[in-house]
Amino acid sequence: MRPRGCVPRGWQSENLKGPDRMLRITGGTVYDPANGINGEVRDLDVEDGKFVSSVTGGRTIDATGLVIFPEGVDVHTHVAGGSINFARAMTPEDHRRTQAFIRSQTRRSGLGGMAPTTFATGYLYAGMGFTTVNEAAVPVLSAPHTHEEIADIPIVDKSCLVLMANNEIMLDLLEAGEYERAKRMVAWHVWAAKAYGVKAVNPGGVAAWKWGKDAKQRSEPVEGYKNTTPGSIAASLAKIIDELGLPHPIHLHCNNLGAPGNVSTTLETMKHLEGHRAHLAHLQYHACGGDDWHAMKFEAAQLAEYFNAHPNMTTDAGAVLFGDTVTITADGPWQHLLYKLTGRKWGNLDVENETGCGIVPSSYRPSNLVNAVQWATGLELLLLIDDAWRVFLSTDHPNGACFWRYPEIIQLLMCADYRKECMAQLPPEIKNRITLPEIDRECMSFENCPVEMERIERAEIQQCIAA
Amino acid sequence: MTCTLGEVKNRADFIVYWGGNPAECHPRHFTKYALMPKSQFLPRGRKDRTMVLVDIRETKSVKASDVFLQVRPGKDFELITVLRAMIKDQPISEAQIAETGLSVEQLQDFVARMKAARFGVFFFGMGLSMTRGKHMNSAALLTLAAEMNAFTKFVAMPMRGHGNVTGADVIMRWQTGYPFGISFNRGYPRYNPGEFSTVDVLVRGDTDCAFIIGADPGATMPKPAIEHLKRVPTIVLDPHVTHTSKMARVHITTAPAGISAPGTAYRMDEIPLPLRPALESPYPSDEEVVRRIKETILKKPDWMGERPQMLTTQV
Ligand SMILES: [Zn+2]
Repeated sequence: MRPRGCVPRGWQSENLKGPDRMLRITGGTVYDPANGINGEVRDLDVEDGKFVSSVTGGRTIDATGLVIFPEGVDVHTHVAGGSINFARAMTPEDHRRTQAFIRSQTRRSGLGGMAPTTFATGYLYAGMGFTTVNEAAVPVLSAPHTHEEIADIPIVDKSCLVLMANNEIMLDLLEAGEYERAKRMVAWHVWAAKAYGVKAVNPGGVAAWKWGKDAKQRSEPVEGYKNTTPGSIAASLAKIIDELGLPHPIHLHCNNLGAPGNVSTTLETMKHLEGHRAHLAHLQYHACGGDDWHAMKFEAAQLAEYFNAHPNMTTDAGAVLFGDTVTITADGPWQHLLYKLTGRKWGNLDVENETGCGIVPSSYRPSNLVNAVQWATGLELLLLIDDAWRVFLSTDHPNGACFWRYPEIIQLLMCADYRKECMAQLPPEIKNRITLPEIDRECMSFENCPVEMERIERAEIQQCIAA
Repeated sequence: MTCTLGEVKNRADFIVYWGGNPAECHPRHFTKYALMPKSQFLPRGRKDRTMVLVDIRETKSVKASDVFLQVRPGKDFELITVLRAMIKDQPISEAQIAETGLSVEQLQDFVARMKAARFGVFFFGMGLSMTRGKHMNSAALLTLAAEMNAFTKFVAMPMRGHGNVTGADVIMRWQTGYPFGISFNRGYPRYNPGEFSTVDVLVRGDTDCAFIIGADPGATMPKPAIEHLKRVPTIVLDPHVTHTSKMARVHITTAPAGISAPGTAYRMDEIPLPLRPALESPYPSDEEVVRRIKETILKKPDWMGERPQMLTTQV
């Protein structure tokens, strides 16, 4: 990930000579919370990839009537690699009903939809003002494939995270207390997969899934091991990643995804990670209270409160939007559960030595209580976490919704009335299970709202730079 | 429900080959992945594994198997359906079992072995996927594997072969969303095997040019398709003289991929394997030829004209 501030791609000084080094954007309405610019109409001048007070010559873009804001960064998405490509194979009926991109002299053809093709992925992200996307799950064995797909995603910058937390060699080393060798092993994997950081999915759980089991308890040993627990795997990895000085912290997908009562697992995990940097992926899926599906309620408020008090953490929402999608995750056990719940198609792909991935087409419906609660929770997390610089907009594409639906989430965040309208469709039993109706924060006002749209995106960039 | 071959090598203690003859068609499959290898979880190698062969006739693979189930030709789907019922203890009539050509005892033994396995795998070949029932057979077997996961770990995997078919399939999928049988004639990818597959397009005579890379349709396709290839300008890229290249208007000799030209091949489980050339070749690679042709075409004036960038609804 090489964030470049607000400079359009292709305008880096190393590529350009003469007048091409200069760019002037005139007449746009500029939002830049980091610099306190709130909706001013002004001109922007760029020289050698940096903003300057003025330039002479070069290209001019007339942006009259347009909004200029910092680029978006998608910190957690699945756009390239074996699993999304498996999902493409499983959804030909969706390809046929979705939007089509037509080939031209400068553009390749492609299809949008639940699992867009690579070229379409670049066009769709760029069309929303995003410039950087992070493919969040790469098994080291098929990393060359992932990079080939990444090379076919145009316009945006790409990075990826290599999966580690179920690597058998890794688990064996941790079991034997060989911490230094485990550390070298992580470093080698990051190098071999050409990754930006490390992703830990359901530590120990996928390894157990290979025998058809799951890792449910953080403190109990993983199937086949005596001392290694999900908690100890996550804590060791976080420590290793900090010591190696990787720019991105451990990217953690906690255990017990989507299962009622998992909020206690998540909170316990956060406590294990105190003293280390950590990024908690798609937090919405890890915020369920209650003991079973009927008593299920979401505990966004509780999580947000803990999160607000712990600046070592960042997170992304993993928000859900109603509609059809296809879910893919390296969390095989959860996918098998989803298959049993929905009875729909199920694809599963286990990759030797580290990971597996499950694929289930699914839809989120407002009339379904669990889905409705998930929808509200994603928004609650985005609204209740005070420090906008630490929470990312994400749907865990394509799991919660497709990335090209982000503008819908932004509208929900910016407009309390629109949220109320949407909440009217939810089943009446939802009362007392969510806190969304009590939140009237609107992310519109620049002065007092922390989760203002532009600011989120700015935050993401800042985070990347800081990270 | 699938996995990579390394998983099979390390974990599978119960292996079923269905409708294939790996001893002759995939000779390295037994020794490299499925039967012989010793692993952390299967330290005694072959002794820790059970192999069942399901086929319509005795092949050389039978010798390698522990159990051979000779299914009546064309009754694979029925057999899978019976097994799906039996694993769930649903009632099955004797006539239904007799229809498959196997005995109750054989099937009960098979089901017991499947359930006793720690990690089971079905490898299915063309004998299942290309005979009566075609993809319905494969789908049924995949469902059986999915349902077996209620009892133990089970996966299913097709036995694919012939060069880098898997690689072509994988790339077409990420670029177009579909594996094969794709038409671009409306400016965006559409999929319809049986209409847009190469053989159908040629038989109907829908193309006015053919560009063939590393394949020999002249040896395998039906006569009307070959006749059409002779009629239109056909361009062949191949290291060898082939049936197709003999009838082609142009044959460009290229370096053999994997031997003299570098690249990536995809194993049948979609794991990419980088290939480094062992020998030098005086000929250009396929990739270089295609790139140079593309560069030349791009120099021509824009023949596409005005068209929309995007369609919200496909036509
Ligand atoms: Zn994810």
